[in-house]
Amino acid sequence: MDSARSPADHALALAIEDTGLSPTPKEEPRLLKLIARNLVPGAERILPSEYERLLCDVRRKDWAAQLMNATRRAGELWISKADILDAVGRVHDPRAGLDLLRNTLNDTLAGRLREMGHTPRDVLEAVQADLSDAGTFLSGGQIDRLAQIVASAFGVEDTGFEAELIASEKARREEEERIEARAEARRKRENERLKAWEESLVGFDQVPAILHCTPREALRWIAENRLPVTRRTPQPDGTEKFEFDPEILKRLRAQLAEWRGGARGTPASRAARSVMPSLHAWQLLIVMWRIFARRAHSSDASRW
Amino acid sequence: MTGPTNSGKSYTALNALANAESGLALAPLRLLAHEFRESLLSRGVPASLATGEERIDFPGARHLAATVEMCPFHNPVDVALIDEAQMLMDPDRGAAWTAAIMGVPARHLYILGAPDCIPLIRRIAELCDDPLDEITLERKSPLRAASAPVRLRDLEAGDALIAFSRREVLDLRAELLTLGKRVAVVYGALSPEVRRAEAARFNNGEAEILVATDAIGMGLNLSIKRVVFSALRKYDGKQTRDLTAQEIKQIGGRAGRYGHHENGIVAVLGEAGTPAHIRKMLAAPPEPITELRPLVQPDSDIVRAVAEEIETDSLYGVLVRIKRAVLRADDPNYRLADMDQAFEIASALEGVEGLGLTQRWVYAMCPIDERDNGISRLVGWASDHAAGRRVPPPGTGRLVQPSQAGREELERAEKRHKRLVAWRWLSLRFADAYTDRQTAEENTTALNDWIEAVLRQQSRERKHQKRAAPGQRPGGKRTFSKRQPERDSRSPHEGRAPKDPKTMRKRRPGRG
Repeated sequence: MDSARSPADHALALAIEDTGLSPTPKEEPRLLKLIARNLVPGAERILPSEYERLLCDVRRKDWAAQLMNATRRAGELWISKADILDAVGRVHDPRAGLDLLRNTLNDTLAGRLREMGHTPRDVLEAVQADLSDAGTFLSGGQIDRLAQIVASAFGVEDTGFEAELIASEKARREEEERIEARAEARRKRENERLKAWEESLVGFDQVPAILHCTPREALRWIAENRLPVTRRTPQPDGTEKFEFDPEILKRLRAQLAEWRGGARGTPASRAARSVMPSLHAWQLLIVMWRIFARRAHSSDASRW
Repeated sequence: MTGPTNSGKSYTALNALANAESGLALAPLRLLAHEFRESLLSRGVPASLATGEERIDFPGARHLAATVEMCPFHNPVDVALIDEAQMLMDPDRGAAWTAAIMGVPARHLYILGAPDCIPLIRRIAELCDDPLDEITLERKSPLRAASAPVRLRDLEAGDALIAFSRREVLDLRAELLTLGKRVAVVYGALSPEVRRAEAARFNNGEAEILVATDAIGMGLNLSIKRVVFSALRKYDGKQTRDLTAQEIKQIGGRAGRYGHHENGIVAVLGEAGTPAHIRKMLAAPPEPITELRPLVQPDSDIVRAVAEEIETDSLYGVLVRIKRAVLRADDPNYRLADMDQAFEIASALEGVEGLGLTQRWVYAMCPIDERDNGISRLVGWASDHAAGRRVPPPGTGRLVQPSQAGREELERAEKRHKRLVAWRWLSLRFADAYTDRQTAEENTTALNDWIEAVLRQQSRERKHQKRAAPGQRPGGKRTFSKRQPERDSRSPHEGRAPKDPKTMRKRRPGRG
């Protein structure tokens, strides 16, 4: 025995001879520390099984890193760091390569998935919900892969269930895409309708001709909120450009006689009219209707 | 009827309501509606309840307690009460207050709120041509600023420490636990039930200190001796800005509950501001409101009428038209409420076939969390509904042992709770598609119980200590300059809860 070598160094050399397993230079310092800690006082060697256990302990961090890289590269977002740490903790062969590590991880994951729900479908939804909580969403291919893993975890991969699961996921995705496409088309149509309507608006100069009134009358009715101004555009000189919906103007012709002879209305009715400057239909609606409903009710003294 | 917090507005108005032949009490929160109902029952007045998520019918009752959004516009009553009228200025919910104040069919209407809302109420009365009596109540126990700044270690039993994000609340909780204090927390993401349970722990002394966001400002009876601000700036969804005098008064006003404390004290943590600033803010007159146009938004009648007018069955088309042409930004009398979320939902629902316009409008009003992928989930539910399939309620997800739960698990549970709120809201409106209400109730209860159990854990949690918040050096002094809203961007590879053989699990099938 070389007197310059520590007992741990010596025990390591003997263990390498016994098992044929050499640590890498990077692993050696930590392994030596563990051997020193576990070496029975006075003993010159450690049992091969003990050596293998210590080497596994040293290698677990690297194994976890390998698995982490492999799962990230494969886009397996449903595999958590806890799954990986759990899996490498179950590996007791220091010769383990990526295949063994991967198989152990698959077994660990399958165990966790089986605990997550009673049926594969529940589990698939639960995993997706967990990922969604963390702000992660799976692509179609990833969902297919996850469906295979879940089916395999439940031992139903050869029963057609896996295919059914994948098919139903695919159908769901296709439905989502159909909904989005339909929504897009309808939004486009509505935007075009709006644009066409806005282009149909007329300026103040055309109002007297449409209503058969004088410009002065038109201005007065605008001030009284009788004539709905559909669009007011501020001008550089501080004035506003008014635009009107010709269809609404045509419908208002029938009321002109009343306007010419009638009162200006109450402040509330004027205010209510102003809420709905472009659509005649608004006159039937919320504010005015509610105010009148309340007032009608309040004035019905016999109820109280 | 206006007055600061703790001036007895609700008490006075509830007495009037109880003496009326028929009445309606409208509250800003579901739990407050419950409290109004309980107040009426305690006065010997039978009352029903209507909120977005639940209904309680009391046979023969002529009084109803409801949330403001549930205001019944077709049932005339003798007296109505609308609480927290300063919500008129809230961009998200203000339109519901406008509609309720303008449209509630009551002979007498009591409007309760902070003094700042008076000009807006006057404007609404003017628009309606209605007479208005103004009653101003004074605070019953005096409120004063503390004479010196406070250190975290100096917080005492009965103190409420105010922060402005969930993350800050949980950071401060962790720090206080480290200092050996017993802590309760209240923040917006917690369900009303959990908030109430935490408030009860604080009120009965089980917890010495309450750490809360400004969610504390509304809806909870809290026996707070001193309110301590941990910061005098907040992120308001758009920018980080100084707190207004009204916000300081509203939140600080929670200190010194009448009958429990002789006076209320408002203080600030040493690094966040000075007592002089607090004193100045408390003495400041109400800030003038520059925008006096009440917020309005369409209801289903209006949506239908506009759709008929423009001859479309597209909710998207209706909302675009309303925004662009019906109630324009320059309207002299009214402002259109912020309807961005409704707009987004309507836009996404355009592709779902088989739903009527009114049904789409109901979906557009559903309370969802957009940051939790809420719109896609809602489209999935609507798609099932339209296809005649039943929509199963969301599950609780994995609920680990409360002692093992970190912030990530807590946040997930809060999100799942919100999904259940949305599902239950829809189940009251589409009972034929959202059928399994019992499971939804059970899951909601399970989540509430679990969140309560997590918050009850008073041991120092290592997970929390490892992750320092922005502006905080672990173990060192806090700084308060760079606050941003909390967003969890970690991947599922990080921070997963350890696999625990004792894991509690209760999962029900369902989307999300």
